[in-house]
This record gives sequence, C-alpha cells and structure tokens, in this order.
Amino acid sequence: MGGDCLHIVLQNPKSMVACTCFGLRMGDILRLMVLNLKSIYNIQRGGVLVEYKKLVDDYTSMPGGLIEAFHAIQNEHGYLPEAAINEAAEAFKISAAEAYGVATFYSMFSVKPRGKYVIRICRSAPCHVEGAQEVIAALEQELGICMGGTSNDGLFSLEFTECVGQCQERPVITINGEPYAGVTPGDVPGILNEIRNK
Amino acid sequence: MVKENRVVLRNHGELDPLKIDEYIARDGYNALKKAFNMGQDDVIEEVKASKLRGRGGAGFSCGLKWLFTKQVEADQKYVVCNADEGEPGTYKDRMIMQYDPHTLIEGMAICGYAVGADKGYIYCRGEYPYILDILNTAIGQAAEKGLLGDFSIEVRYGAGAYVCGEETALLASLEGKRGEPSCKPPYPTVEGVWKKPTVVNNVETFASVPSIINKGAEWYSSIGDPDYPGTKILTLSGDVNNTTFFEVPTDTTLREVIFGLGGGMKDGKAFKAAQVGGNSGAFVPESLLDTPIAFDSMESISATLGSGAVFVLDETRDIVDVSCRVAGFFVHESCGKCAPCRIGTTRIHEIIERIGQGRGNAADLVLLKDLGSVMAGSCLCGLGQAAPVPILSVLKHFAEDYDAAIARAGEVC
Amino acid sequence: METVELLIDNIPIKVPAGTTILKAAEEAGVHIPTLCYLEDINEIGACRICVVEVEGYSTLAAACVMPVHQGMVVKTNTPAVRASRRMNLELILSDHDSDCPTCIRNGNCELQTLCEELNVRNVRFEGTKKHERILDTSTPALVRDTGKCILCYRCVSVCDHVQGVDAIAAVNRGFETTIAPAFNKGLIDVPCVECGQCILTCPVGALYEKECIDEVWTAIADKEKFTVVQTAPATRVSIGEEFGMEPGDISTGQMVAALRRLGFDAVMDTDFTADLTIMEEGHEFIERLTEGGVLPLITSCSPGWVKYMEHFYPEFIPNMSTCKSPQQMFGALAKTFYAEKIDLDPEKVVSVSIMPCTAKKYEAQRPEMRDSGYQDVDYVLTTRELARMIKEAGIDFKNLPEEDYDDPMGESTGAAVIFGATGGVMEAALRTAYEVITGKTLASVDFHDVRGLEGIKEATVDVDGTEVKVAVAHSLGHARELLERVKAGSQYHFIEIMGCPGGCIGGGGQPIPTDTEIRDARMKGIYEADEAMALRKSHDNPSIKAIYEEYLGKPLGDKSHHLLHTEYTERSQY
Repeated sequence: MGGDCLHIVLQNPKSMVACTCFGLRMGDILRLMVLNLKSIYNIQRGGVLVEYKKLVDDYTSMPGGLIEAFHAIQNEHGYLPEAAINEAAEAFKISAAEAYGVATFYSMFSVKPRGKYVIRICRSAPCHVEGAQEVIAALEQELGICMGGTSNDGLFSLEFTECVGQCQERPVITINGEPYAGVTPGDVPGILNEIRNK
Repeated sequence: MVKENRVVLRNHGELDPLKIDEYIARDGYNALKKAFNMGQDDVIEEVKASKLRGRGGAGFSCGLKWLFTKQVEADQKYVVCNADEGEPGTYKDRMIMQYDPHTLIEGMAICGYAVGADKGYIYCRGEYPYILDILNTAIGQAAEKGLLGDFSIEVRYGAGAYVCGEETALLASLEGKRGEPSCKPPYPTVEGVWKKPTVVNNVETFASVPSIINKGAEWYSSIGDPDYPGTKILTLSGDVNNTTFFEVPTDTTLREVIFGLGGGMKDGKAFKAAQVGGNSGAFVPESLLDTPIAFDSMESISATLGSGAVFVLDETRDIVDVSCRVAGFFVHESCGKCAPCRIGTTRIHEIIERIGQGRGNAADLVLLKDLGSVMAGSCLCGLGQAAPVPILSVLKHFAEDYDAAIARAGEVC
Repeated sequence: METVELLIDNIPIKVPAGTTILKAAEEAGVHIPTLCYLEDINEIGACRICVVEVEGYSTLAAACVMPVHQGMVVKTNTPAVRASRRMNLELILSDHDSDCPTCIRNGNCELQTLCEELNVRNVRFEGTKKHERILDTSTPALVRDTGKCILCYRCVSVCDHVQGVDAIAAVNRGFETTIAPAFNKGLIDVPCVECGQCILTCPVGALYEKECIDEVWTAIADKEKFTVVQTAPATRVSIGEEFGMEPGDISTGQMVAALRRLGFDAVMDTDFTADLTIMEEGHEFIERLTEGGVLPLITSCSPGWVKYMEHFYPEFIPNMSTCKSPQQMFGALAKTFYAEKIDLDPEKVVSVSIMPCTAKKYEAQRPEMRDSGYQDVDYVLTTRELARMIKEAGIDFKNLPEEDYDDPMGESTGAAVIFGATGGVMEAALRTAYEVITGKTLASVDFHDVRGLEGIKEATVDVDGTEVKVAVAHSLGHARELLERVKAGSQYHFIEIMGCPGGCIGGGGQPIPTDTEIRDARMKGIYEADEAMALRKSHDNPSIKAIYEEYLGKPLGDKSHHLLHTEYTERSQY
C-alpha cells in the first residue's frame, strides 16, 4: 500500500489527500518519498549541490544555454530537482521564477522524480489509430501502474508524448529517448525484460 | 505513373553520413565553393530565381527572406535551421539530418555567406537525441577541412514543445526561454535571435539549396508546380500499403501519392479521408484527391501541404474519434500565451469529446464552427490559427459523421 | 521624423512611423478595447481583444502591437472583429471564477467593463477551469487568487520590467499555464518585496491586498481599546479618487473627519514622524558626512525597497540609514510617548495606519518592529481599504467638513508631505541638513532637480562650499540601475530610493487605476500641499521640537536609537 501510494503522490500532489484518507499519515508518505528517491538516484547529502553546479557550469558560457543545462541535469538525475533549477537560475543570472517557468514549459522536462527508465508513448493520431491505446494498456498492466506513474522498483515511469518522428512504423514508444517503432502489446514484456536485464 | 524525383534526398542511402569524403565524392560542397566565387547578391538572386519557397509550412520565398536579412545593417547576423519538426506523421527532417547531414550544413553555409552571417544554429527537437552526434561529427569534419569558411554551426536541442516550430517561439527557446511566440513584426529577418537579423529556414529548405546552386535556378524552377517549384518530401502513414517516404515534384496530386506511390488502401478497404500536412492540416475527402500538393492548389481547397505528412484513413475509421485526438494534440501543445488558443483548444477538445461520448447536440456544431473561425482569425501565432483547420475541415467534408454522433446522443436520451 | 498616412475606419490620419494601430486609432478618435495591454510595460498582444482588420492580411492584427505603415487600411468595427472580441471574452469568462458580487474588484474590473462594452450576454462554453484554484495568502500583504487570473501577464511584466524583482512567472504550458512564484511556492517563500505593483496592474481580482478591515472594525468597537490612527502623506492626494474627486485633489481635512466618524479615538499624522525622520536621518547624514561614515547614505522609508535591498543588494546594508520609516516611528511612539502622555496602558492602544502601500503591512509585522514592547503598528490599511470602510459607513466623504489632526503627533511641515512623492525625502532632508550644517537660512526651499517622474535624478548641492552629490531613484528597476552605477564607481553622498514608480503616490495600496498621468496629478497635489503649509522645514515643526525636549532628548540620542532606529537582514534571492 505504502509503495503504491508513493507513486501516486509523486505524480499528483492532490492524491496526498486521498492517501491520508486511507490511513497513511503525511509523514509516512514523505518518508517513503525520501527513501525512494535515495534508492533511485543515490543522492548523497552535501554532494548534490556541487554536482548540479558542475553540470550547469559547462553551459553558462553558452548564450541561452539554460535548456542545454537542464538536459544535462536531467540526463544525470532523471529530473530537475529544485536545488538544480536554483543553481541554474543563479548561474544564468535569471530569477528562480523564470527558470522554473522554463523547466515546466517543455514536456520532456520533469520537475518531479521519475523512474530510471522513462517510457513515453506516442498518442498522436497516426499512432492512435494503430493501437497506441492497446500498447498503453499492456504497459500499464505489465508494470502495475497507470500512465503518469512510476513502478514500485523505481525503474520505469510511463508518460504520454506527441509524435516523436518515427512514423514509418506505428505505434511508437521511446525509452530514455530511444525509439521503438511498430510496437505491439505482445512486444511489451520482452522490451521491459530487455531493459531490466541491462 | 508518378515517379520520385530525389533532389533533397539524392544521397539518401547512398553514403555513410559520418564520412564526409563520401559526400564530397558525390559533388558535396561544390555548391558552397561555387557560391564563395559568386557575389553574395548573386547567390541570393539565384535562390530567388529558383522560386524556392519555405518547406516548413508558410511557403514564403526563401530568396526574399535571405535578401531581407542581407539588407539589414548589423554587427552580427544569424542563420537558424528549424529542425523542430513536430507535425505528427512527419520525419523528413530527421531523415535528412540522420542520413545526409552535410547537405543541410552546406545549405546553411551558403545562406550564411549570402546574408553575411558567420554563425548558424540547428535547433533540433529534443525527441531526436541520437542525431546530435551525427550532426556534430559532420560539422566537425566540414570545419576541419576548412570547407565552411568563417561560418560555424552549433546544434541546440529543444525539449518537447511543438510550438517551437513557430519561428519566433523557436528563437525564444534558442535564447533559453519559454518557447512562446511573439507578434510579428518585427520579423526575425530584421530582429531575430538576440535581436539580431536572423534567417530561419526549415531543414528541407536548406537541404534544397546546394542542388539549386549546383544546377541553377532554371533547372529547379522547371520542376513541379511553376509557383511552388521543386520537390517535396512526403511521409505516409495510416491505412495505405506503403507507409514510407517519397520525394515528388510539387505538381503531383494527392491521388497519385496515395494510390500510386502509396500503393493504395490497405486490405482493399475504401478511402475515407487523408489529413495532409500533419496535425494542423485539413482532412481531405476523396472528391478532392486530384488536387496537386503545391502550396497554392492546396490553399484553394482550404488545405495546406504543411510538413508533407499524409495520414490516410479508410472507411472503417471513426472521424469523430480521430478529430478528437487531433484536437487533444493542440491542447497539449498550445503554449498558453494568447487567450483564444489557450482556452479555445481546450474547449474544442471538450466539445468533440462530448459529441464522441454521445453527449453532443446541434448547438455544439455551431459553437465549434464559430469558435474555429474566430481562432483561425485571431490567435497570435500559426499554431492557434491552424488548430481549428482540421476540425473545420471535418465539419465541412464529413459533417454526416458528426451528425450521426449527435443523432446517437438523441437515442441515448 | 518620418510620418505615415493611413485610414482607420475611413478616417485619414497621419502619425509617426512605428506608431501602433492602437495609438493611431486614439489619434483618430477611435476607441479600441484592450485587456492585457499596459502601455510601455506589457505590450504582448496576448488577449486578442484589441484585434482589428487590416486590408491585405488574412488574419486579424493585435492593434496594441501592430505598427502602422504607409497606406494601411484598418477597420475596427467589422463582423469578424466583433465576433472575435466577444468570443475571446467568452473564452476568458469560461476559465474565470466569475463570483463577481463578492469579488474585491466588483465595480472596478476591466473584464467586467469589457463585457459590458462589448455586449457579451452569455458564455456558451461548459468545461473545466484551468487548474486547481490556489489562494496564496502566505504574505502579510498580498493575496494571489489563480482562479481569477486571466493570464494577461501584466503582473509578470511589472514585477520583472519595472521592479526587476521577477518573483512570479508563467509556469506550465497551454491550458495549464498559471502565473506563480518559482516551484509554485507561496509568495512568502520567494524574494517578493510585497510592493503591490502587481495589484495596481491586475485587471481583475487575481491580486489584491490582504485586508484587515474587519480587525479594525472590531478594534474600534471594542470599548476596552484605544484606537490611534496615522495617515501617510500620499493618501491625502489620492483617497478622494475613490469618491469621485480628481487625482491630486487634497482631501486631508475630509480624511481626518472621516476617520473620526469611523470611530478612531485619536487621528494623527504620519507626516509628524516624517518630520521626525528628517531630524534623525538628517543628523545621521551630517554625522556620516562630517565624521567619515559610510557613504552614500541611502534612505530607508520604503519597506518594499528595504526588502528588495535585503534580497538583492545586501552589500549595501552598511549604507542604509538606520532610521525606521515614519510609519514605524509613529507606531513606536504611539505605544510609548503618546500612551504615557495621555496616561494609557499601551496594551490597550491599537495602532492603525493608513498607507498608500502594501509592503507597509509586511513592515509592520517584521519581528524587529516591536520596540515599544508590543507590535508597534497593529493594522495597516491601504488607501483603498480606508475608502471601503468609509463607503461601508455611508459617509459622504466629498462633502465632509474639514477637520484638523489631534495633538501631539498631528502637526507637520511641508517637508513631511513631500515624502509622498519621489525626491521628497531627499528634498526634505536637504532643507534641514543645509540649515543645520551651515547655520544659514535657505533662500529657496525648493529643490526642483530632485522632483518629477524621471527614473533616476541627480543633483549637486553646494553646502557652504562642500559639493554634496545626491541621487534619487523610484521603482526598483531604477534602484537597481542606480546601485549598479554606485558599484561601478559613481560617487554620491546621499541617495533616496522609493520602491514604487513615482514614490508613495504610486504605491501598491493606492486607488486603482494608478497610471503615469494619475501619478503626475497626485504629485502636483503633493507639492501644492507643501506650498500651502505655513512651515516647510522639518526642524521648524514646534511639535518636533517639543518631543525632543520632552521625551527623546536629541536626534540620534539613546531614546531615539532605541525607538526610532532599526537594523537589516540579508535575505536570499533563490
């Protein structure tokens, strides 16, 4: 129960209320969140800031390099943590509000923690008519989570995307940016196992 | 039967994209050398004379655009390649960059020389991370060989925002900001990235340029439609047999594309509709399939060639369901800056969803049309102006599907 | 200048090239409705209410940003234009919490006015609202209601472009877009300085002051409490606007009468402590100038500026005058000097201030503002809130007989009233400093160089052979510019900074609308009030002389240090 709840919470703060209704106290939820984050990203206290700074510093000389810096942070940490966004804002001499505005504008950036592997499923019309919904159902069933969720082992997150430009075969999913075209529901267990065995 | 004419894709599958020598062996960088030996104005004149029009969707004269930037006095100018192709069903720019990056680089360098810009950016959509190494390798090789003169190119990545295909939004994103479009004028040609004169062209447009310089404007302008000459890469998806890409002259008709190169309908089913130009394109009925794909002929049927995506639906497809998904795309991709797009895209989607769920009524159709025409006329940028196009087209050509859905609602009650 | 000729609704008009259609239409006497537009501050063409038809264009143009060109033919009243404006309003209404009767902006709402002007009769859209409604009440001064927000971006622009604070920005995308502080935090957790300029620009009720009207009514009604009220300089030239008077009309006497009728036990004047501020700050300046203290000395009357400095320029803390603002000096004295004088238990004193400012609400709650042993100022009412109370009480403000302030903190000079306008504190300080240093009487008390709405003003004053260089900035954007000049080596002895454009006359608590023209009119009122005063130099104020004799001793003395001076705290930007 705790684990399931956690993943709902990560994606949707509103569900915190729902969780507390089930008898979980807010403190428990937060503790679970922290534990889970540590296991996913192995973040060490104190070491974090230096790391963000280092990632950001590679781009500060690049005019308008904020988005590139965000990519670098996200590639390393899986998402854009608050401290990292602040670090970037300071380095690029903009306000935290503006930096956060940029971080939340682009659909590939996440300001919430995600699984190690982010699976994005294209739902644009060409994929939609060729069974994207069935692939989504298979992924949800196989991982035991809903779209927008993260699996219990912290390995997978499911997200929607619009067209990823691999329309020669449909439907298309991407896993950490790598495209898988022409995916059928039957392909899903194999693809997931392949990733798990990496 | 219509045949492909590979101008932009002339090297596709013929060379190793990571080996510049193979590109050079196929006449690569000759156009750039030739351009360097021409005056800047002569290069622009050649491009103008070729009547090449932007392949990104707006169809503006490429030569004129270059000329506008050339004419502005400025200490710095930029050449920006719009590689943010995001129209569903489109992957032509990716193929050019992935399989023949030097054609793009050469086209950009010619532009840089012509307009007096020494810095270029390729703004590539974030969905194509695997192209970064290819582009950087190619740029590095060209620079190492000293082929580009003083022109340098930097690759920048988007992060998932269809609206950044709109040039002012793209430039905002390039500056590290939210990809929100701004009102024009000023146009980027005069005041672009970092307020400097900037040529923004699509990948396919730049990739058309080396052949034009090599073979001449006359040669190019004689291909296809006289007012929108040259070739266009089309990508087919949906219920046709050959869901692949083709490069065809611009006077090719939709019927030739779908039933000729496309191999006709899959499983022997009947044709219902084709959405041309991506998610923002109109749905075209069978009766209009003899329209050539050229810009103006498409416009005459209230459609656009757009990105060149052709998404084909057979008789079994639920138009209300498909148009609902098309509407949902714009809900996801509207930037939120202007009111009619921010709220209108959501309202369109809600109304169609309601109709699809059997909860619609006749007034909904009136409202959809009213809202659609207001958005087309008053949204700030092309995204919002185009968002109602597919919806208005299905209401026009496939009204019976909507009427049937609404009639079902009557039965439910 | 190059001019172009064009036709707007068949009216020929000639305007300079580059003029927008909106401005050109104004010239032609054609009114084009706008919503997101805010001259010079927010010109982004986002609301699409000002759309017009331009011959040869396939889509409508936003008049607020579209420049005219030679031969342009513009039509502002066509079926397509009317349909677009109405539809866009309908869309905005469909995503707006239209609880108008209870909205703080009911009757003074630009969205309401537009719906009336454009004959919007129904909203045909049923659907979701953009996001969950967030009511941010985290600060003592401001309330942010995202349910009312129509995403015009004016607040974002004013916070960024005018104030250089950039505490809020657009977050998320599309229908989910919301205007919010970083990480969707409360304003209390970001470097918002609570100046309230965002409130002045908000066309609807998405941003407003945290009211304390009910708390004040309760205090007035409480027989055990003794309510003391002070009125800031700038309020007397603006409150009349709420009752149909012109901006800049001086209504000091009516305001005093109204406050008495509301039931305040003592009605006194912040102007008194403004004079006192000059005594303290003037002597602080003289001390630093003559004894080699940290210069430039920078004024500290504006709480928005003080908070801004603490967040963005903490390196200037040593330059800051240690003087409390006049509001806080008044508060500290109300519960000490005044309570003693009328033999009252300070615990029973409820100290209320009427301020043109929202940041004053924040300032009153700063933990160091308790030198009387109690919270020195209990409640801060904006000019707008006071007007609401007067309306609620059914008082005919305009026709009230004028009344005088109560003693002993009601008497003031012209030097105090000019605190309400940018440059006023500087001018008041120069009037006193000059005479104290030189022992001579000024030939003219008017220092015109530091007056007016120019963003940064500089002047050099000859004080008995010493060239005293001063600078004045208003709005935090200009403050930043001036401080950067100082950091780059510009030398000044004395700097006045006010957080809001125009100074307090343009404060975030002032009547809405507050625009450049209105600021200008209020400023004229301020200087008229100054000229009308019998005394125009703070050190001439008999009540000031009396309070030093009776209670404080001397400027910068022990008691002053305890009650009238303060300290600052470095705060983070991120």
